[in-house]
Amino acid sequence: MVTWFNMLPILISPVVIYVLLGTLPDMQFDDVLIGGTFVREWCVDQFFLRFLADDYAQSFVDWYRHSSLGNHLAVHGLIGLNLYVLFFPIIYLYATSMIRFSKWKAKSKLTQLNR
Amino acid sequence: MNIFLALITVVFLVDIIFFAIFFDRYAVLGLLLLPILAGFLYMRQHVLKPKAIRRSFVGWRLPNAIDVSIPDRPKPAPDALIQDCFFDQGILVIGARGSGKTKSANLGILKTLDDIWPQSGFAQFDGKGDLDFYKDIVGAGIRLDRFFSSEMPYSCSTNLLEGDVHDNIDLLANILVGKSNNTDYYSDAQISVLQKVMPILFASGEPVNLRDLYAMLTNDDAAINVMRLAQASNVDESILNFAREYFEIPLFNRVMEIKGMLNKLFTFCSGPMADRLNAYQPDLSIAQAVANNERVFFHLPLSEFSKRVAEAFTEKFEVEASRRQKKLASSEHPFSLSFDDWGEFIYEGFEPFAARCRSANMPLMFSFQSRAQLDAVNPTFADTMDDHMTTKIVMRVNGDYTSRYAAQLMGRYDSVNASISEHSSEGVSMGVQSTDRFSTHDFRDLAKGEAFTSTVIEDEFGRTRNKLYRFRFPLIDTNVANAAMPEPHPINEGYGLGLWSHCKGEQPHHNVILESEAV
Repeated sequence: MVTWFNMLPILISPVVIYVLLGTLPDMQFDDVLIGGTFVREWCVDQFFLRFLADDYAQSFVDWYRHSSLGNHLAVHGLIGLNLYVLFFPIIYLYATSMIRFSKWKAKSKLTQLNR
Repeated sequence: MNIFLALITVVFLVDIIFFAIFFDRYAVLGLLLLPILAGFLYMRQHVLKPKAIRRSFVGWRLPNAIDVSIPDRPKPAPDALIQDCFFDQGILVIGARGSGKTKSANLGILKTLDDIWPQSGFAQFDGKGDLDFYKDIVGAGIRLDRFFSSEMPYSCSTNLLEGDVHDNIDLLANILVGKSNNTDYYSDAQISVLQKVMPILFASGEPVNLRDLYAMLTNDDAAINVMRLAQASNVDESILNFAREYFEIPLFNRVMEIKGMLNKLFTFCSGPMADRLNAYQPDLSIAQAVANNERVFFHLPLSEFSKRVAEAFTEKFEVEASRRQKKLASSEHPFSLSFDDWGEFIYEGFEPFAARCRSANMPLMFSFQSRAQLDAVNPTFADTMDDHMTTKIVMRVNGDYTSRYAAQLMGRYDSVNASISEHSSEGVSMGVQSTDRFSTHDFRDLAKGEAFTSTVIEDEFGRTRNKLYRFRFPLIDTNVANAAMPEPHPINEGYGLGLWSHCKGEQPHHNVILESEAV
């Protein structure tokens, strides 16, 4: 029977995968740059800068360009947390339905055994 | 949901700090999210939650109780109580002699009744005959208004034939005719006689008693006198005709047809102990006691006579329950009937009596020693009690049969067992086992005054729960030294029809027959 303890990996895996993708080492294949830096910058661009006013976006980009890797990872983590909160209800519903389904399955099996 | 709220809160706080560092204006916007969050939390706490409809409860406090609703996980229950709102649904107490049934459970019930329904009356029936219980009640400061004893000289007097004629026909049909010991023919014939003669006996409007009835049924002079009085009272001609038709049968034939009923009736008429059942102006009137919320103690030490008397009183209370059901009497205040050690006194008509009382706001409290006493009523009575009594208290019991019944009263529960096998392909197996909550030994090992109880409680949201507690009754403070018995006083027959005295040739008190003859 599935319990909340069993569902823990599913609950935390999205944020873990997201953070791991942002910390991959940078590599270049032919002319294409892949790795953490690309992921981080894409996420900042898609999930943060597009919601800011131009002057604020510009000042943030200036700060980001000159800041350390630690700051980049912090911003990446923060965006990840916000995304996680947005998607958490879906993950929660999935986990709940899995637990209920396994409970129903176990009960049906017991009923069959009792017969 | 709580995890989700905590997560949102943490992320919002981190966001706000971040925005505060880089963009002061957005930080202010971020702060606006906090009241929204607070509003959401408030809604969760106060709007979405069910509203409490009751916050405080009264009833019978059970000190040092342990909640054993889940026997594998007992936990202290400092607030355990048998709630007042379930007192009117009856209490069943089972316990062996010496388990503390009377002094702990019954006295506790009466004390609680005194606290929760101070305006209400009750009747305490004591089948042991031990006067200490009476003294304990008085010594505990519980008001008692009347004392009736089948044996003691300081008993109140009563009249079993007071009240409405039709109620009395039903009463006599139950206590004198019954159902099981007669064939239908004789039962019907006896009831028919009662229906013919009782309206005549009551016609004059003068107080009558069972002795008058006996005299009328066994003596032609008495019958003639009663008929004469009924004619003078302008009784309906059809009623007179029915009675006349009956009295025209020769006396010997009449008596032979209702001999069984007369034998039972004679028990209530003969001897000094029967004097207290036939007072024309009695000290104790059951109708008045119920109507005026009096508190009556019935002392009925076990004997053949007291069993008959107990049956008669039980039926009198059934009449009152019936009147309350039909709204002929007020049922605003509960009138409890508490039967202590009543096993030997239960008779065939007890079950309908119990059913009627329950629906007439007359809660029943029973205490028994054994399951066999319940089975003596009928084979289903024990299960009926289990179904109808909301609160069951089990004290120490001795026999295996009663222990098993006690285990049944406390109910069963499902225990879930999960086992993991490292070799099996499935890995985990589960099983549910339904077992008695307590073993029979649990009830035999109880100390004096210790008990298990199964009761229903209502929480502050109006939801009901079945709770089981193990606890020890508190010792009730009784000042027995100052608890005096009632003063002995002579039983006065009073003023009434006086047929019995007239037939016996005694010099009666003032009575109607002599006056009518003088006229």
